[in-house]
Amino acid sequence: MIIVNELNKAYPKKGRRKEKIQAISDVSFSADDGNITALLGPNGAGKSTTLRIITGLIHADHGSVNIDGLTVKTNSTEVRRHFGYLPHNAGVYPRLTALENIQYYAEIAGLSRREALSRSKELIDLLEMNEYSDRRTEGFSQGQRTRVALARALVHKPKNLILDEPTNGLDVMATRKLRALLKRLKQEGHCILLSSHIMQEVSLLCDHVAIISDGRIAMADSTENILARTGQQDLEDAFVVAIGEALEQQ
Amino acid sequence: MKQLLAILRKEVRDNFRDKRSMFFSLLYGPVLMPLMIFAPLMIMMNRYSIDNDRVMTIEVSGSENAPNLLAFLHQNNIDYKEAAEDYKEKVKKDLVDVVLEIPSDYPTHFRAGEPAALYLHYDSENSASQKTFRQLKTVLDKFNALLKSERFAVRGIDENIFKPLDIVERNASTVSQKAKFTNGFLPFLFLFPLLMGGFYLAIDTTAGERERLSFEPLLSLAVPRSVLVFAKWLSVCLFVNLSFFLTIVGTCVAQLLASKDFDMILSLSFPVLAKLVLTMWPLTLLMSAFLFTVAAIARNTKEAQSQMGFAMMLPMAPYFVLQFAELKPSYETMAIPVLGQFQLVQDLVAGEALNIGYLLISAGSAILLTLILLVVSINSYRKEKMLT
Repeated sequence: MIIVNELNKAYPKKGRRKEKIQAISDVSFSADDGNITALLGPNGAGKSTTLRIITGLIHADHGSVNIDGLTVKTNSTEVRRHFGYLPHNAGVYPRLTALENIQYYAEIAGLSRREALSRSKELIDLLEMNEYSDRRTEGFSQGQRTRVALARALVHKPKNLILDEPTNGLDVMATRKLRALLKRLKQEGHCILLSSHIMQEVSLLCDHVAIISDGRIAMADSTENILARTGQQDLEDAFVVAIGEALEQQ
Repeated sequence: MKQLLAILRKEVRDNFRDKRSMFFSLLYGPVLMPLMIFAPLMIMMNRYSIDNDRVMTIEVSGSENAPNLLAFLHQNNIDYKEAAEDYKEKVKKDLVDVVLEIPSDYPTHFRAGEPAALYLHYDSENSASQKTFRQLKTVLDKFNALLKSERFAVRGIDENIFKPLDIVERNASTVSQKAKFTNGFLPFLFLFPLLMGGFYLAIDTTAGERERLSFEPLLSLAVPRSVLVFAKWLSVCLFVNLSFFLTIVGTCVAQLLASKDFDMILSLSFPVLAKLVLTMWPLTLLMSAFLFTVAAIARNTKEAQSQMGFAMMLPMAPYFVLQFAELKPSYETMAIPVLGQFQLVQDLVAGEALNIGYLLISAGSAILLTLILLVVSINSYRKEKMLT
């Protein structure tokens, strides 16, 4: 369970460090266990900044994040055991094989070398990476890299999963498989928070949506409620209405 | 501890697979760099040092005019053969090293007790010619001195009359010429592999991670930043040590295999070498921390490489200080890392005993600075800037 409460974050302007750009303002929403929650917004809306604050990588100027009852700011190391994080770019090690990449994270998570190996192999089976698990990741496709990174995020069996644009660079089949996997994890009771700017993906997958625009939460509710509140039939139109733009005449 | 070992293992494995990094740690620092220093020195030594035991052959024009002189040359390892007619041309074209010309009036002047001229044809631009010339000149000077004392003796004159002063040089310095020469490049020989050994890994392990975007997921793991920094520093340290000990082994092998020419440049007995390792070893910790800290501040590999280029001048600074300033070893100088180690090494090479107090202070100051740099690194790892 992730509770985000009134997050604010400003960055200094490049070149003019005294001036600041407000990246996010008063961002509040929650992601429940057994649900897939989307942080939906256009590019530059503040999705990655919000996720980075949730994972404790950067600190909010104001506001707090609570994961499974632990405050991120004060329990930064402990709280990290409670989530798995897939950043915007997979960030895998090119000179290590897929298996070694996953094992590395498993060992850092505290698994013994034997446990790390068997858990990594389990994930390789789950994410269907057997074909290339013993190859160095240099030269992997974006989809293959994303799967390795996803396996790393899942390696310590975290209750919460935070994914920054997880379908980025995946082809249709890989996207469908990922969707199926996330649904399965949801049924197992995991709390899944993902960021996306793809409406179709969100409407197919998510139970709950937080719409973010210009660094502010425009609307946060269940998918059905958002459609009802905006009086629209599909999520794309609801999104446009929610962020305050006028719908084009059909 | 488990986490530390996992990170250390990964960094070592990753670095072993990086060919460029391996080249710099295992080849450039310990092998190529010393070779680049030693090879030209050995060639120079070989070119300019005279070995009087070496039998050489010169060409002589007018050999019939001075059979006694030629017999003396033969006793002193210089044989001769007749020079060709156009010997002056041949010397000019470097076809012949040296020609000794004995003019036809040599016997007349010799017998009359007048200065008898001998002509040495050589080419000072040709090093082989110059070397042969210098060896021949030494023997001829010897012959000249012999004739002089014989002529004085025949005339009943004590040749000591012509030596009113007998100047004896007694140098108080315990530093031999050889040691002075060795001191000139020893810091480079042992410090450079330390810097080169960790150069690429230090960059790869921080700036490289940032560039590959693998840093963000790594920092999101439940591992304290201090453990992360310590493990990564240890991995750099491991390769710096590998490079350092390879240089020591290389020096031993070179001493065992190389000719006595090498002995003229550097000869370190085993106890001296062991003390040298003891003195220099704390610098492996310090240099690893130094490289790591510099790389941790850089945003990408390119920036890290250029920063590192400038930063590497810093550990070299004490070497230049020692070149220009006469600094005697003291507890104060020992407290300055690198400077202290350099001074101790210079004393060791000069054959002086190792001052344990100095050794402890120099090691202590290096370790203290290492700890300070590690704290600085941990602080930079905690900053948000690391992700931007």
